[in-house]
Amino acid sequence: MPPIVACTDLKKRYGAVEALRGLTFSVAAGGCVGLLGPNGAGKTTTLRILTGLAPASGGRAEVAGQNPWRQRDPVRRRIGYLAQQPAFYNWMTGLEFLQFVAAFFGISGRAGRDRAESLLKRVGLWDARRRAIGGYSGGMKQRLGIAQALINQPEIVFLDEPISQLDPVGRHEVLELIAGLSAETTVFMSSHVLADVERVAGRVIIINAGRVALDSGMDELRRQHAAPVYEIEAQGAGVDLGAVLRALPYVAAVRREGPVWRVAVNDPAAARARLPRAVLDAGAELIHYGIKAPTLEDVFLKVVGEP
Amino acid sequence: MSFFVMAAKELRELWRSKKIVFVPLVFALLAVGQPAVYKMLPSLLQGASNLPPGAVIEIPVPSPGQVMGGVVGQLNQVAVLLLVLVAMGSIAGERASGVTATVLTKPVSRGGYLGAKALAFSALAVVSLGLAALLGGYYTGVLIGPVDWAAVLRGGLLYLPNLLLAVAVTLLFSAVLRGQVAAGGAALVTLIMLNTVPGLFGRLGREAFPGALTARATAAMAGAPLPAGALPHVVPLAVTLGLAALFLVVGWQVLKRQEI
Repeated sequence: MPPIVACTDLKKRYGAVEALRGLTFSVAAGGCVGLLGPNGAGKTTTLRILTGLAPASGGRAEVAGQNPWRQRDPVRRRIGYLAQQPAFYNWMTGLEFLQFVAAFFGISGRAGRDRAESLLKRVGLWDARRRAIGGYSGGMKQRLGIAQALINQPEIVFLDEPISQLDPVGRHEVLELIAGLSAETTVFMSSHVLADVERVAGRVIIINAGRVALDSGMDELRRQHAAPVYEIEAQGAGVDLGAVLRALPYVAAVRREGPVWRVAVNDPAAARARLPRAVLDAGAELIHYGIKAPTLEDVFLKVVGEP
Repeated sequence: MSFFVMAAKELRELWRSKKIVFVPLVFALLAVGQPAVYKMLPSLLQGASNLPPGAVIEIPVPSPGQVMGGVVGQLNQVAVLLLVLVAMGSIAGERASGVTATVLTKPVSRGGYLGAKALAFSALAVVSLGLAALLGGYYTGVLIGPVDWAAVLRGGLLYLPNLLLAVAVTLLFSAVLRGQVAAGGAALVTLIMLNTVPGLFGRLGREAFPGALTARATAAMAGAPLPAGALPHVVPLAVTLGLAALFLVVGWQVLKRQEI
């Protein structure tokens, strides 16, 4: 079965800035794929090219076997798209906006209204359907954005940071929605909220500096990066613990979460034997020491390097 | 298909934003003000001056046609500015807000997107000018004297392409430039240049370009015949409408290649 998305040596340049430097990956139909990367890695640029909002500067991008820039119309009939900051005609009501976008797909009249209403119910905006969008909260706009992306029952839906601007309750609701969606269509979502991607995606593509740094199924990823993460909490006047840890040859990445340092290693045996001693030798007092399974964030930092 | 959906949305937006009400209203007030000012001018002057008792101010009573010609002059300054202000953000503003990305990832042709806006603002111009001509003519008839409605129609039709040109130029710059204020400014400068610069290049420039239409519309309202030897009306009409079409085509081509 041909992939629904295929990027081959995809390049994008903005003046002197190379946003994408030869991105290559493909996505088979079905499931949820997370596109991860630090700010400026090229996530939004990739989605803009795949949705036909921007042309590539080099290489090839295909959605359902077609070039999204040159064959805009046929591609757009098959995709849905939610922008990072979804915008609407604020004078329209939620119901009017969905009927408006449905009409572009030839779904008008009673059918358009039915489709709009069923999506409003699905995204939890039924009670607000007759309110002007200008009065919607950020979370409501995000949900309306997902509804408009689904109006044509797309083969693939591109979601650009669909959860980053939401509060915890909104995030939970939208994630539930995305998890449900991936059972009926292909979901391709970019995000930097790694824990959220971990909850819904079956596969992650990590890009960094315009290139694919890692492309793996989530289970495979956990197996490959099964090396545990070491948690260290220590105190010691004048001791730069971050620098001490980073200087150790078996340490791959170091991240601070409040008072706790999370240390990813590339030699677990060496780390287990020498890490506590290294902290004490640096003159720090060890308060807490633990070994944890790595989160996606730990893997991410290991792959893209420390910030 | 997408053109009709977009056009329906544009017309609905004109209604919801009340632009379809206040723009014709401003046009109408300008038009109605002209016969009222002509009618009251002698008494206004009398009241405003310190003339000795018994002094008489004699101002020739203008013909209804001259008053209607004055209506064109009034509209020419404010109406074009108003249309530019109303249309300048229609693409630049939508792009800045992000709604263009939402719409243009649907099967909407960029030509249809621009064409729908051109249609809606042109309809706004037609309605506004029509209302101004009707009310201006009516009040001129009441306050000054009987109006030649055929001359009003001729004058209105001669003036309308200027407004359509203003819409086209504004949409072009709204498509090309990122900021709506910049788009409005560039449109106004371009319109002023189109109305003045060709006049510097001899008779053809004076008679064939958009600036000629205002003078011809004023004369037509007054019932004055076309001077002997002048180019027929169809020439400046065709040039102005052709320029409007050209600006829209350029806007479409720019939009087609533009990253959103």
